[in-house]
Amino acid sequence: MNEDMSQFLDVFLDEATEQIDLLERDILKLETAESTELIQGIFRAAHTLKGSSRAMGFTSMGELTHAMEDILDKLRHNQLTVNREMVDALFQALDTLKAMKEDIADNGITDLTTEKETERLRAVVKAAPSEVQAEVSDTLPLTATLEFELTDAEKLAVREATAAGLTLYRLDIDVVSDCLMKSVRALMVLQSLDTVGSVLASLPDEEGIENEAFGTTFSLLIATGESAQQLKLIALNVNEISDVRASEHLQENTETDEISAANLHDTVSIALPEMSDSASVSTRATEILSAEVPVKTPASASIVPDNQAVVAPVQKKPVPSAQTIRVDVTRLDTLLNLVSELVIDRTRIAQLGIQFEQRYASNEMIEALNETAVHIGRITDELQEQIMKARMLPIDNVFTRFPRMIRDLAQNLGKEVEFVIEGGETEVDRSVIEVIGDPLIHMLRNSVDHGIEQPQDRIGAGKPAQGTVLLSARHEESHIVIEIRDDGRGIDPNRLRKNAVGKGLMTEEAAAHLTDKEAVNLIFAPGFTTAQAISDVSGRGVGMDIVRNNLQKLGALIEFNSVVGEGTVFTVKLPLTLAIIRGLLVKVGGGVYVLPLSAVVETIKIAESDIHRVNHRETVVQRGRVLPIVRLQHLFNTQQAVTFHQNTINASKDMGGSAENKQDKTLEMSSLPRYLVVVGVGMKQVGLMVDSLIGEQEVVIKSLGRYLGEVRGISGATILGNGNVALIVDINGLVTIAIEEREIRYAA
Amino acid sequence: MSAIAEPVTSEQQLVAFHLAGETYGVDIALINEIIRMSEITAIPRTPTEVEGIINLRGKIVPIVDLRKRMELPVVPKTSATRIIVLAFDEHIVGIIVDRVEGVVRIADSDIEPPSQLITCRDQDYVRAVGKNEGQLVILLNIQKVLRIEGIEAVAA
Repeated sequence: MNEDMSQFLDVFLDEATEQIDLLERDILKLETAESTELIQGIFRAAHTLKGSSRAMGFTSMGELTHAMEDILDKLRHNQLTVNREMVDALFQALDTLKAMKEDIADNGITDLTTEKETERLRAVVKAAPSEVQAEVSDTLPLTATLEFELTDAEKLAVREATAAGLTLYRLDIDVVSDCLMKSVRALMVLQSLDTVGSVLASLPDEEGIENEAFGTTFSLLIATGESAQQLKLIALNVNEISDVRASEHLQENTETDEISAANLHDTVSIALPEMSDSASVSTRATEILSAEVPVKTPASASIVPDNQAVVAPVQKKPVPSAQTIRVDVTRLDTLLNLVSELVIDRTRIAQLGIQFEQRYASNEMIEALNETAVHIGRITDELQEQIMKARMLPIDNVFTRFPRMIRDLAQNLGKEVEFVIEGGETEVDRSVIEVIGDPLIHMLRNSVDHGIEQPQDRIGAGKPAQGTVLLSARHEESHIVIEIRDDGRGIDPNRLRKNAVGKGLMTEEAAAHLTDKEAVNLIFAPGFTTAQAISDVSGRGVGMDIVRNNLQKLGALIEFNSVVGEGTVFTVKLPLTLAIIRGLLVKVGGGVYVLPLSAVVETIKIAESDIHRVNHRETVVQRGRVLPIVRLQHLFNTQQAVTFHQNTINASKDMGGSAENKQDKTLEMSSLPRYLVVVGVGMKQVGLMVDSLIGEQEVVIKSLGRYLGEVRGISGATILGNGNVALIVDINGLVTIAIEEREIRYAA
Repeated sequence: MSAIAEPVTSEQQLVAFHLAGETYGVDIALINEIIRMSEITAIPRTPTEVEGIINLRGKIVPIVDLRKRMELPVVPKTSATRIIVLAFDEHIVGIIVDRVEGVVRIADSDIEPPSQLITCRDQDYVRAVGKNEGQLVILLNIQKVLRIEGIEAVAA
């Protein structure tokens, strides 16, 4: 790759990603909804990819896309029809393109070969009757023969320019046929011509040029004092411009009542070389023009009063008309961090206001401070909300990965599956986008693999041969709800019972005792799979238990509903963002901890005397159910969050205090009321014993940092309103520790 | 820096601090800032020497008690106790020391490899010993002390 190309690498990769995604989506549609528009779209994407990869020097990538293009070209001309082999070959090529793109992103180059894929694509083409080379120039309209259709503003600009004594030229500019970045070349031409005159109009229009919506020729209308020869030289100076034809443009459209045709032609004819001097042009123009016609020359900076709007088009420069910009996510993360600091300071200011009030009684200045604090509060809230919104992406970013996967999977399994996506535009925080993909893949695979039946079985059951899997997303309060619905065989409790026994997970008797609901919940049991045969997709043991655990780590809830013979619906309820969570703040041994509210079922006040020991384990009976208790203080092995103050001498804290010591302390405090926070872990509920409840709050999750790495039972930290740090509890991890510790303690 | 062609490594700039009666030095390039003791939130189930985390202007910074880490007797914190915040690539760690003396410059000629006389639990911790105005300064290999792997000491 040469020097000046390396700076385009990021742009290239972004573009390649977009085009590959588009190809993936649309090639899939080829099988079901073939249409000319669709094929054109695919062709264009392949073509763009070919152009940009060649431009960047990735020739093998270019060749592969070229071979894809060949097929699509024949499709377009009805020389080929869509068949499975074709789609498979296209997908295989696409997979290789993806791998190459990843390679380039990682290493800047790729040495993957494409011969196999290219061969396969060529084999598909060979079926076609004739060999037609795919070239864009065949398909996109040549603009050379088109006439400029000027807008009123442009007409005015033309009129002014001619009135100012400038010559209007039409330039038909050819780019070389294998030009790789046509739009760049065209814009370069525009830019260099801008130094000697004003480009008044172009064919295609500016946007069209940027989008490369032209064949090999584009045309410009330019007002200049330079000669046609000079313009040609300037344009030809740009790389990859093969030819420039200049002709004087006599614009009949501009003959309006304001200036007579004769007058106009006069003006055009007096285009002299020295006219490029703006001063003389202005003078000359003023001489020629009648007083009421505004005067403006391109080089002059002065604007005629009351006619600014009229003047604008003459000065028109190629400005990208983008309504959105790409922003590095780390910048958004930084912004979010800064705002969360602001939120903390805001709280401190409010607290200071209260303290002042208490100390000095209310006065005007304190009131003013408090008002300002409230105002800052409102603004920071708004700011936080807006930044969170800026981080939102449509969930389609994840969903688009699935149709292809479902298609391949269904094909491998010999099933017919229609995959429907609904609510892809639902927006979620990018933190969710990053992590939700894998669990959904597993669930979708399960639906196709275990849910949807073989076509003959479906027909036998009186269903259409083609099964349907529906993936939908929607907002529900501050959550996003994702549903996976299939019309397959449903989850049969009897089959699960049999399976559990077969796998030695439980005895036949125990299995028979399970209620249907308990039996179907076996799908969440570790190492459980209901697949009849081990397929290479699901049924490899990475079962629903892992899916559920991973989802729970994200603060998500998963539920399902199944009717035997009719199908299954899995519902995943996720928070909109993982950067901020709602938490229940509790006090344990003097320290403040945050329990994610998504896991909290309820809170109960109990007395030490309510606690019973069952099998050496502490439990409490609550509304007829037995709830195991975990004392957070024991588990965290902490007496007190150690506080140091300047000039304060504190006894060093005893981190490894003996168990007996702690026991004594617990007994001392046994008369105090205790609070149990009941949390749901998997299908079970556990009561976490805390000293007191502080309240609910939204907290910004911060990592503990690389130095500490993963700390079991703690998922992160957050900064409270008073500037102190509170730890966020990982409920799943915590309960795992509790189980382990008990085993250790009681096994001895 | 003098105009004479002298290698820039002719002296080392260190932040000197006290710990259990000894003077130690850490390369100034590793030091982000020095702060007073502040509220430390203990983290359960971490090694003893990890005192906890602090909020440093919105950033979470883990704090290690250097006395505990180096298996020196633990004493109560005083008003002279300081936290030295060190930054190594992506790691940010604060270490608690008894007292910070300040920046010292020690000429390379006054720096010697660790002698057998220095009894430290782990010889790896000491990369050299320097003399500063008649006082011995133990140059710590702080990455080793903090068990930060994959980062070489700045000066051998």
